[in-house]
Amino acid sequence: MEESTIELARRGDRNALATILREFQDVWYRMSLGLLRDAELARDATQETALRVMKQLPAFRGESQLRTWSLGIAINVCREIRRRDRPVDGLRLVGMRQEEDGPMGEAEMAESRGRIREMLTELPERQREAVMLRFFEELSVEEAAEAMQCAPGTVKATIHQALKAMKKKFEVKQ
Amino acid sequence: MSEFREEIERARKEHQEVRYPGDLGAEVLNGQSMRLGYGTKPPRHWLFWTSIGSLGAMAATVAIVMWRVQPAGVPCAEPLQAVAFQPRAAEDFSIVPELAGAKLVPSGGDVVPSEGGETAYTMPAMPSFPSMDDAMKSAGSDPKKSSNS
Repeated sequence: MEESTIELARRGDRNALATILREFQDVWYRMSLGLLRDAELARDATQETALRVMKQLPAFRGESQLRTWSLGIAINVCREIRRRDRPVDGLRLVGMRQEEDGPMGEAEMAESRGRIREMLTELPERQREAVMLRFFEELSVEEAAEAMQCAPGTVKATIHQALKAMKKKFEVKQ
Repeated sequence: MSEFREEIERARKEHQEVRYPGDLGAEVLNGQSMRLGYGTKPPRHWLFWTSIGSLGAMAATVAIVMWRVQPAGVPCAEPLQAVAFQPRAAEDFSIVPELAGAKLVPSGGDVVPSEGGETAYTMPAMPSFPSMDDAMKSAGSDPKKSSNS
């Protein structure tokens, strides 16, 4: 993302804002989908993230990447939605939608998705956020810490605990 | 690479294939995204102005009806006669009004009652009470000795 585009967007230029939203819509959506496990909720979260990014963009000082900063906003939105919809969160996992499906073979994908997603879903919220930022969005530990608004050491410890729990469950299911 | 790592890698690739179903820029910038309920809602100016207009129209209708319809049996008031303006002299606007046949200060007596007059009130003297020493002496004991013992 070019600095000039960000600067124009900060001043309220609609074309620049549209460029930023199109650039990051997939990032925000897949992060929301990974955390919320519901396509409709993820879409709502993505739109809310876009609105907040537009609102808070004048306060963005450019000390970090716009992607990292906006992912932090997306995580906050997802936390709010999870808090709001906590009672039905477990039920939503049963009916995961076909539109989330990727390009892999159906059987292989279902198996892979079943294992990893199930393990991810069973993780505590913070561990899931850390794993998704670090391994799925490929952020550095420092960037993940900034998005999660915590210290890098906390992210490392959280990821360590998450991987340990996931490996344990993976070996049991083997 | 372990099988667990392979699974993670596969899930990562699958994750990165996910695309947003639509055009977020068009949706958000055209204001079609207020679905969450806790986001920023557009102000309802139209509702305010419609309410103001409705109230104004109702008030105008009531005023016209009251103006057009006169109650039966009530005669019209006679037209008022015009009164010519008569300028008054400056002394007519004195600050203290002078009432006909009345005095501002009452006559035939002092305003403040004089000393010794019939209307003067005197406060009676306070009754005297015996002191503690007198009371103890009359009881037959020395108060200093009794306090030391």
